[in-house]
Amino acid sequence: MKCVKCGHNVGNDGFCTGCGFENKHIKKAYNTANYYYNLGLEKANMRDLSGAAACLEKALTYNKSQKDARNLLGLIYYQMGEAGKAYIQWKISAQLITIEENLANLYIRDMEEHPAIFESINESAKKFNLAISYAKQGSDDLAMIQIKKVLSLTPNFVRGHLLFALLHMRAGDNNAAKADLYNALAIDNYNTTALRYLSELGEKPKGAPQLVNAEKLKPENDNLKNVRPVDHYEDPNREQWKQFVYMLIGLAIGVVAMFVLVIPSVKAGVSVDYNNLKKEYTQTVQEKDSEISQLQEDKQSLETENDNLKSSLSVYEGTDGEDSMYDSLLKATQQFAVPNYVECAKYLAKIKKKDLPSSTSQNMYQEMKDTTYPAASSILYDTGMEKYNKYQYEEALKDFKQAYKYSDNNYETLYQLAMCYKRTGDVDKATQYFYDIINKSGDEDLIRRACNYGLDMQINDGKQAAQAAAAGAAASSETSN
Amino acid sequence: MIDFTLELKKFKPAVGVEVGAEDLFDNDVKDITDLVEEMVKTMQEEKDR
Repeated sequence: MKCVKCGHNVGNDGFCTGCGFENKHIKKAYNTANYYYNLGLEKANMRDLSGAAACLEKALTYNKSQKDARNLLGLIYYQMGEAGKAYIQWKISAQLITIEENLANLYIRDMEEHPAIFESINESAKKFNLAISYAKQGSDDLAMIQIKKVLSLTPNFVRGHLLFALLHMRAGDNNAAKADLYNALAIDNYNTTALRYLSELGEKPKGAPQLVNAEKLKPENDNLKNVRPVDHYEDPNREQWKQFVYMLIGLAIGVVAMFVLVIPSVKAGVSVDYNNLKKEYTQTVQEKDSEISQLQEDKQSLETENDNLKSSLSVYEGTDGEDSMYDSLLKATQQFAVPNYVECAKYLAKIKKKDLPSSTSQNMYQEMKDTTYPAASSILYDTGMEKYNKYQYEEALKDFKQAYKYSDNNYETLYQLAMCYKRTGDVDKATQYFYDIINKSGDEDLIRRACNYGLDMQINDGKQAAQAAAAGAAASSETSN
Repeated sequence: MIDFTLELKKFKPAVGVEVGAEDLFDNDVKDITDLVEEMVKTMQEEKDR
């Protein structure tokens, strides 16, 4: 023992050998410390761990250098699942100067050789503190989840069992609470807090609970029936990237669900709307087509009626500055009276018999026409021949055109007309007329002249050419039909 | 009847092993020797005055 004043050794009488300071109070304190250490050791042997810890802590208040008390306190803490506290006690103990080997060094070495133990101790302490925080905030479910994790890591954590029991009691699950309390008592046989809680639950333990295997102290599923599965719980302060990944997965699932569930239904709705709209549109288009068709028919009918009315009106009124039918009929009558049949025929050609309103006028028109047309045709044929013979083919052509118009298919006149075309260089038209004469007139002399003088061919060749032209025209007519 | 709030207040935080050496010894308990040393020191200071 060293003197507290000068550091010299203290004699058996309690006085310092150096300064003479009386150290008897210190010696007395050391004796008291030894007493509490012995008491603590006795309680530890009886597995009254909390009682032993209290005695050893008191021993250290009398002599904080008492190595054995510190080492034993560390062991007690370790037994009660508080490895952090044990480690601190052993570290302090290891600093004490002793002659014999300090067991604390052995304990520390054992712990430090296994980093996983350190990690487990820290993790357990953090989760326990988090559980206390949750419990104080009233989030008992979250607190229970944390406690369950703590007890999985450290099954002999007495305070963990006590907190678990307290939470179960608050939740009204007394059976689970009792199980937790008995678990605590299995480690610390005379834990006053556990005994007090049991007393509150109407339980009186008959004897000290048996020491049980650490694995059996892990919480049973029955004790956690009101607790959500912890596998799905993650500490919000750790592994935030996992939360981010879960969020992305959730987002992806949401997107897939949208494509699989929402969009098809929307598409189906749009499709139904589209079909309904299409149906309505088709009906509308059909109605409009029907209306348009009706209107076109009406228009056609009205145009026909309009044409008829114009024709009827033209009897009374001239169009485009020309004479009306009545005017033409009057002038034709005047020329018929002269008689000038060519002029008369010209006026009669302007009149349509069916448009004349009365049978009297129609009869009058027909009588004049029957007389005038043959006479005018004959006159114009003669004048045409005179001009033809004088090589005035252009002038002759006009007369023959009129003459043929007033004649009733007079092929002699048509022959002269065709000859005029030939002379004026319109060979195609001339040839066509010659073919008509050959195929239709039946006049052999006329056919001969058409072949020889018109087509410049022998009769047979001319006939064959005319027949081939007629056959080709018939074939092309059928094709076009 | 248990007062749960009061009981919860009795639960002190657990200690991990991430404790610095300084904190380790500063937070240690004071024993009788410490008290006597302080008393002697105080008495010596008063005597010196």
